[in-house]
Amino acid sequence: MNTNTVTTKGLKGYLALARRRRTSIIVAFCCGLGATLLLAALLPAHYRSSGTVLIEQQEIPTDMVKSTVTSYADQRVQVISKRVMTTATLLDIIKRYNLYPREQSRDTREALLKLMREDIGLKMISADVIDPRSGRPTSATIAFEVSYTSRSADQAARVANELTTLYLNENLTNRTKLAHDATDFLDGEGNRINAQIVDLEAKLATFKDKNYSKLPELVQVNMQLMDRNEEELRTQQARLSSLEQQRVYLQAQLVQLKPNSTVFSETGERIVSSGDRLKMLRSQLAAAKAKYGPDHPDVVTLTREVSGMEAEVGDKSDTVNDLRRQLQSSQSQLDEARKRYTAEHPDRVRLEAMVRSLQQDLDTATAAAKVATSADSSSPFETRDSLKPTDADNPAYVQIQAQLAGTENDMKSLNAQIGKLETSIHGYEADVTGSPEVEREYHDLTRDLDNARLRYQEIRTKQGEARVAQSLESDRQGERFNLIDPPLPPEEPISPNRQLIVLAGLVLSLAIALAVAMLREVLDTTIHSRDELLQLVGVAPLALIPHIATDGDARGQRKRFRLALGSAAGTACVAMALVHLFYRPLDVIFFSIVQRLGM
Amino acid sequence: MNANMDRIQRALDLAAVNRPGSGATDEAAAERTAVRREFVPAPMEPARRLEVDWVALRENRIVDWSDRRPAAQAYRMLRTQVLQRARTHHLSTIGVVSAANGEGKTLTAINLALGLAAEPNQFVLLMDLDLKRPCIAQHLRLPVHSGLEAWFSGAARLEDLWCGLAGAERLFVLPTLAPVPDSSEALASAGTAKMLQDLKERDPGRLMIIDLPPVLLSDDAITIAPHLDAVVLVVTEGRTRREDVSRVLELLGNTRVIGTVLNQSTESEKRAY
Repeated sequence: MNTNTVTTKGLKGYLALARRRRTSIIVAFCCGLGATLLLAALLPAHYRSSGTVLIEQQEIPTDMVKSTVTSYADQRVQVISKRVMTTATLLDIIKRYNLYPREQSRDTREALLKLMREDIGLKMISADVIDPRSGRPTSATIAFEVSYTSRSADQAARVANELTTLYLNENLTNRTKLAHDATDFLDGEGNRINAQIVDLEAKLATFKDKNYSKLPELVQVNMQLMDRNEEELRTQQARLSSLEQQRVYLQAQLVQLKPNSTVFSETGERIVSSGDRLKMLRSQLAAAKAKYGPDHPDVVTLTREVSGMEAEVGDKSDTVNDLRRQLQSSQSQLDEARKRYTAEHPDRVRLEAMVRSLQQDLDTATAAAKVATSADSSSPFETRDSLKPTDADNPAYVQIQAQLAGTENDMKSLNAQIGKLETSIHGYEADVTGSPEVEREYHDLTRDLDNARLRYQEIRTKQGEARVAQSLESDRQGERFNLIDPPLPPEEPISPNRQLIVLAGLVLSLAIALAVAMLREVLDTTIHSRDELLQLVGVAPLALIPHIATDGDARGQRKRFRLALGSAAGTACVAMALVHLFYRPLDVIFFSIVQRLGM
Repeated sequence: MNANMDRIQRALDLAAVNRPGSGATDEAAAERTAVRREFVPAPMEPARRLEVDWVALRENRIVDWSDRRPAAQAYRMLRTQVLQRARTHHLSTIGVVSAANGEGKTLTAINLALGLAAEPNQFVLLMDLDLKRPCIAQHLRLPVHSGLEAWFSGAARLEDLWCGLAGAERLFVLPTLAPVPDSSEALASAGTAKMLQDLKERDPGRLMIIDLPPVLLSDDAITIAPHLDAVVLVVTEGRTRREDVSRVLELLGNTRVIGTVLNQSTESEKRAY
């Protein structure tokens, strides 16, 4: 519908438009401007007081003492902020400083807290630095600003002070607590590991006691000992065999020697020893028995003599041998006689009788000897020794006999030694073979123990560091907050920015005015120019009659102008009165303006 | 002189056309031709000539011949163009219409009539047919007591009602003082048509400027329009809506519109000199 106006646009068209719509433009502009001016004048002033807290780095180099508080400064500040901004704390502050008196009676606690949180400001101040560890540029928080906004400058400063103090205190307690916590934790951990170590040590000790010889460390020693023992065993065995040989040799020598040395009487006759004499008598007796009947006087005599000699010699075993010998010779004689003679031959008969009697004697003697040997047979040597006559007086014999005894003694001790060696070798063998099994368990135990010890060592080191760090914190030598700029009552309000509001209002009003004009133009379908009419009708109007001004019009205009002037003056007066009463006394404004201009 | 020759020629033509009609019209035509031939400058003297204080009327935005205001120039422009068109196309009854009221239609009619009457040898009859809100008399502060309403009610003769104005010898006015009830029916009546015809025939060289009611507010204007030779459409800047103009043109149908007048124009074709 507005297509017709388009062609008439252009600068001229716009000017015509502005002229046409000047009333609405002016009214809209004045309304907008008036509203913003009013807004700028009547908005209550807000004051912000802020304190700057510097985050000072630890003074002792971190290489020397590491703090246990390792979080980043800004993160910590945020944490502290959350702790400070608790409901209880904020409500306490609200009550103490009687903040938001109007809202206190009207709003809920949540609304109050929300207001308070909005008024509290926390701003991090960062600096671009180069991380000394990674060498990359980062931004580090070097300070932060705690602020409070209020309608009153003094109150803003007071509350900001309170808040700053809360931040500082909270940081201190927080850091000390963190350091303390770390130490406590490490102490607890150390004690736990210590108990573990004691337990493991006790276990290991019992294990070692139980498996002492099988311990893997002793395998080598056991092997060596076993080797040595075996070697010794071999030597001892060699010695034993040589001793055996020696004994055999000595025994052979001894057999060749007579225990008694040959004694000669004054007549030069060799005095036979009672043993030899007994043998002689026995052979004579045997011969006599063969020749004669048992009651023959010779036989009786000889029998008596033999028993007397036997009693003297005190040896029965010899009798058995003698008897056996005699029996053998008699037997062989009898065999000879049997071949040669018939059964009725006297020699043969005699020999048979003699064998029979000898056999009888032998049987009785053997039975007696058996009783005797079973009574005192403890060692084979002993029985052999029984052969030796106790009353040997042949020096060579005695010497050999002594040597033999010595040798036998040596053998006896060697045998004992060998026996001992063998047992110990067996023991070692058992130890060595049992070692791997023990080793596994042993290693488990020792590894656990080693681990525990290692951990304990670590914990101890850390414990030491933590203690130092704790003292660092408690002595306030660590990173600390330093209030470098305490909150002061501000002299200038931070908001509203009245100039900006006025400026924005100016622009906005202008925009609104133009928009209103445009809107009216768009909605207005009336004819505004000759061209429009020309386009609509097809022919140009015959005449363009301008407004005919009359004297009455002029008078009316003058009257209206005076009225407008008067009302403007009145409005201005009312506005000034309002400003004077509700915002700031006019003289104060005047002097402040003068001061500002004079500066 | 050329215009006069034209007029004579037209009158002759009209006589030729009308001649084969009834005896009455023949008679009238013969009479008219006789009048034409006599070339009487003021064929019908009004019953009365009223004294008008033109200087005082300037307050009513009436632009008289001695006016020096910029509007006077514009009205002269309008006058001349209307006159030229009227002579070219032999128009004698010219209505002044507008879409709505308050667009300066009556004022345009008065000023146009005054301008035309200032032309030598041009007789002008200004007629108020805005029967709903007649206001020509009011504008001109005419000291009269009865107008066309009396004629419509049959209480007066037309000859008693029209009047001349002192200082504008060739201008006659037929005012209406009070609204006429059932104006539309009154306008549609045969009497009205006859009255117009009579006036036209009495002096064909005389231009009749007729103030009409707003086209869109009543059917009066379109009722009378077919009896008019042409209309002038008055448009007011910043007041007349485009769709209204279109609607008016549509409603007027085949009535000739000789042109438009843009009132309250903020642009002027020429600085006044």
